[in-house]
Amino acid sequence: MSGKKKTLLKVIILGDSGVGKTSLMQRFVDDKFSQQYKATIGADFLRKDLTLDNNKQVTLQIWDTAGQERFQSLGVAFYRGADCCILCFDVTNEKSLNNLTSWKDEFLVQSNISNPQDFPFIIIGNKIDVDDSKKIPSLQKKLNNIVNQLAVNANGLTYPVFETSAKDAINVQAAFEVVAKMALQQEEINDANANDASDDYNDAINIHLESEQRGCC
Amino acid sequence: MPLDVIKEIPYPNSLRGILISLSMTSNYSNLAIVANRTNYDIIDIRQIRKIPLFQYSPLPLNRTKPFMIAYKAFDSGKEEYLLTVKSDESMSMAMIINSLGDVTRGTLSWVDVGYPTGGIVVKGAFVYGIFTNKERGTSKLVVSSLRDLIVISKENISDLFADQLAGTEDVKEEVQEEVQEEVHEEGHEEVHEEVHEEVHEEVQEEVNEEVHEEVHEEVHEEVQEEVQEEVQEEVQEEVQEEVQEEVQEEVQEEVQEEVHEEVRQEEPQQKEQRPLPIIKLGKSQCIMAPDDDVSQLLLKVNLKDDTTLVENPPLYMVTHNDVLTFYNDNSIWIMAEEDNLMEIQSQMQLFFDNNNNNNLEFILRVKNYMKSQAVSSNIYVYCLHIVFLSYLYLHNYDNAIQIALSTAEPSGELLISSSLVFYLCDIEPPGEENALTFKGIQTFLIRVKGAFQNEHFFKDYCRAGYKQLDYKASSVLRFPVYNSFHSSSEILAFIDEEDGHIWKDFEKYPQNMDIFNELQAKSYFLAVIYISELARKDPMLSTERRSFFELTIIRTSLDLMSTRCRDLSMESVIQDKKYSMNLTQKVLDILPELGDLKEYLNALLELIELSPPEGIEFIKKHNDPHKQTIHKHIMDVLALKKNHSFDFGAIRLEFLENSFLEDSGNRSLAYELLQELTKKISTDFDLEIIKNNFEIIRATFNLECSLEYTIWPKVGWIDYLIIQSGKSEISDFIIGYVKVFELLLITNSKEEEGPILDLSMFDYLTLVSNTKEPVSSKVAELLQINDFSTAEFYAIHGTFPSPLKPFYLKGDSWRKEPSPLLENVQFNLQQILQYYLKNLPDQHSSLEHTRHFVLTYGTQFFSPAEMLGMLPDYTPIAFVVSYIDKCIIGLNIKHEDTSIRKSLAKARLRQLQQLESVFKTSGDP
Repeated sequence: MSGKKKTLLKVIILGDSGVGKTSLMQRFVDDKFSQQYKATIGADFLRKDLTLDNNKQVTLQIWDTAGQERFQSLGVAFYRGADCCILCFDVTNEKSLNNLTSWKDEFLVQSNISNPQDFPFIIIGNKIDVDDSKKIPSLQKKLNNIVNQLAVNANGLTYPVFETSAKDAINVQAAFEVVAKMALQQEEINDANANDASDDYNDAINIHLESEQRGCC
Repeated sequence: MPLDVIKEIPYPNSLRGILISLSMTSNYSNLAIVANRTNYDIIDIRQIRKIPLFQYSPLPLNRTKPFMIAYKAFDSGKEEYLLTVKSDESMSMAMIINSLGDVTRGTLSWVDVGYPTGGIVVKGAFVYGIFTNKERGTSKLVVSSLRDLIVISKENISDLFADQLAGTEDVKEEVQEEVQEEVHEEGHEEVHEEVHEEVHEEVQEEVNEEVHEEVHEEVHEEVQEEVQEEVQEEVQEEVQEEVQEEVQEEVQEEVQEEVHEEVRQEEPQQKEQRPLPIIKLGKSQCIMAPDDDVSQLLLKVNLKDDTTLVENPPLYMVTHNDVLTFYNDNSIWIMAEEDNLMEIQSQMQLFFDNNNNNNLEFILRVKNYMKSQAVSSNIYVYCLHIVFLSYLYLHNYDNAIQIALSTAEPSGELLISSSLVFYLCDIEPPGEENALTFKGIQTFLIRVKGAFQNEHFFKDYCRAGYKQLDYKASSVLRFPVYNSFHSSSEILAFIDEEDGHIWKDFEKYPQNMDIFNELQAKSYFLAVIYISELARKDPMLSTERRSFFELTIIRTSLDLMSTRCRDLSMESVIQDKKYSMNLTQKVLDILPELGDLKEYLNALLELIELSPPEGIEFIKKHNDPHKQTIHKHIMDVLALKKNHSFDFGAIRLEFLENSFLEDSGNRSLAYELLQELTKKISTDFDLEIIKNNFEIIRATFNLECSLEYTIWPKVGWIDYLIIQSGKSEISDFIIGYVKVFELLLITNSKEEEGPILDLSMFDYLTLVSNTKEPVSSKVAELLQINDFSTAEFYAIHGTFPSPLKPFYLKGDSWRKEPSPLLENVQFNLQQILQYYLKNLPDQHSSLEHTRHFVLTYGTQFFSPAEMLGMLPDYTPIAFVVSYIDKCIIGLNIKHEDTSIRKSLAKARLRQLQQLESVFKTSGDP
């Protein structure tokens, strides 16, 4: 007989195009890095097994999504059932930092998370390997502001922040380990809630009501 | 049959939809994936609700055709749905979801090819799409991998079908001639599949939609609505051309080289190295469905110059039964994969022909080929058979078993039927199911069967299968597994590891009884006992069957204990200590449950004979009223048997005594106990020692209770014995003696014969038992032996008193009041007083005993005059003062009582007289 069943944890990486989402995932899963930039289309995922501190074995299913806006309409499909969301920005790209709030809101809107204020997010600032001169001026201060903004309506939660380099493999492992723990916690909450709700479609729309609101079709 | 609308669900702007498989969980069986002009949604038909999926078209007016392709995933075997999404004019992608709407794979993206307007199909791990480029007027067949989510091939349709699509009427004629010549030259044998290629194509501008409906599984009618302006440049020309076999060979060589490379590296296929599936498909056979006449009619002619218009009809594709079909408005092409199976088949022949072939290259090749096949497909299963037979042929039994136990997901059914293995092993398969196999391997089966020598293979196969497969698939192997065992210890180990739960659920599995009977027939007795014990744990077990197993455990255990039967594993199982095989204990555990009294009697009797202490202990513990008769019978039977060392007499006595104590009103039991006790005290002791000691006690009693001692009350003989028993060497005898005494009192009936007590020391008991002797006579005898208290009691009651501390005569009922029926009590007592007066040594003593007598019996049985008249003259009045006082008090009481009665009588008389006078004076009649 097989041993203990691993817990599958779904993690979504979001962020502007080019911040290094794919690189982060590949560094973590395959320990590889490619200099060549290739925009992600749609989404793809990789899996990695992890053993957490409490000897709990989990499988992270990490979804690397496209940062380009034209693919955002597909988000709802990918976000469903997520256990943790990584908000990724480029430490050299201030706009990507400022967009984190939008990404978070977008995720919460599309994913139909039942308790959005408790949902775990983690913030990763990638590309710390670049020269300081290229980094966002007063990064820490601005980052703190963004983190504070993100934490609004988050039940007093402060989202963990990691500064990483997928290129030089700095902090990537640590960040994903935290992701795994947070995701596991969320999964356990989901499981507990699942006992009460037997329906897999929490985002279903009553067609009668919809048609009534719209009038005759 | 008319169709009824049973439910109408509002879904505005709906374009198309597919039902999600009914094989899904019942909760979601009424689901459909639908598309409107912009979005895909899941519609829950039962609950009439919509689960939004995502947008597939950026602009509603673009009229992008949504594709929803249901397929069974090549890897998981689960149903998935591929939904196409248009990003912009140059790019599109496919999302892959399950029935819950969850994305199961990454997106498949098609960059720079547009949207698959020509259709899309999923076949195995590949997605085939026809992408048309309106601007360039070209169509591409793009093959993508679901495994790696990359595009692995982009081919222009015109290139792919150049030989079929290109050409002119002239070319057509030339080719036709060539083909005909070649056919004649090469003969029919070589033509084989190429015969199809002799078919010619016709250009037809219109396509009969009904044909489409027959071909399509999917709803492709809407395809017709789509406008595809791309037309293959040379499509309208008829072409017949034989496919170049050289090209094929080259392709196959390439494929094989790559396959070898993969095998060598034993690594996942590199994306760059993956062969192009479209090439791998090999020979593309073009089967046109022309209608020359119609085509001619439908050809478009330019009225100005009378030239025929060359149109590029839209090209579509569909798949059915592993065949890709492309069609445009007037032609159908079927692209069938040339299967390497034939080559494998011929290689297999070589493999079997070469007796020294020990390398696994062939097997690896087959396995590699299998990777390209959908699991559970006929070809895959066929190859699995080939691999299995090859391993068997190489005597690589471990691998053969592993292959033979491959199962289909998710059904769990064996891909290689167990019937085949039974056949190969020359074993009659259980059941009457048809043993079907592939015709292609029939000859090899015979060869493998001939070369099959390993007798352990079948055993290992069955055991591994039973261990590995679920019960449904493995049940057929269960009987053979049990048949393969050679000892109970093997069976016990197997049950413990694998099969215990099946036996504990005995009633659920009909096979259980057959296997049980088989094991019993094969004399695996320990296994039979073990299984019976497990089966008893089934809460659903019928009463009848429960009794059967209880009896089986008892009978088999006793058979083994008595060595009537033997189990060769007995010693090893006992040494193993893993299993509790204390057979005596097993019998003892089950016996109380046994309802059949006859079986109970036989089993207990045998248990006592085989293991007396445990058997006797059992009887003592389980002496309930229902079983008493049986237990008594057992004791009777055993007591008669003298050829055993165990003291069954003592046991029987103990048993009888316990039984009597629990049922003290049972006179027959008392009589039986009396007999046993009498026998015991008469025979079981060293009589010489008993006699001596007993005489001493009796002499002491005579002395201590003689009339020389004037103290009253005097102890009776029986109570004296009880007192002495504690300090005597013959205490056991005394106890038995006293018990006999008590039982004589209990059984004192003329109906039963008294026990034979012919020894002098039993005179007292004989006196007790002699019910015919008159009271006076017995009193006299009791006085003779100085048992004065007893004599006095007997004189009044006509019976003996029970001991002060009786063994059996519990309660006060035995200390009776004087019997009202007894006659001559006065006489009896007078007899005693006279004895006292006559046998007293001196006057003083005489006076003491007289006083005892007068005070005890004077007032109750004699009048003062009678009493005083019986006393000797020398009796001082002082000795009887208290008696006289009692008499006077009694007389006074009697006098007062008389006076009161008289007064009352007088008063009543006066009242009556007064009443009479009242009546008279009143004058009433």
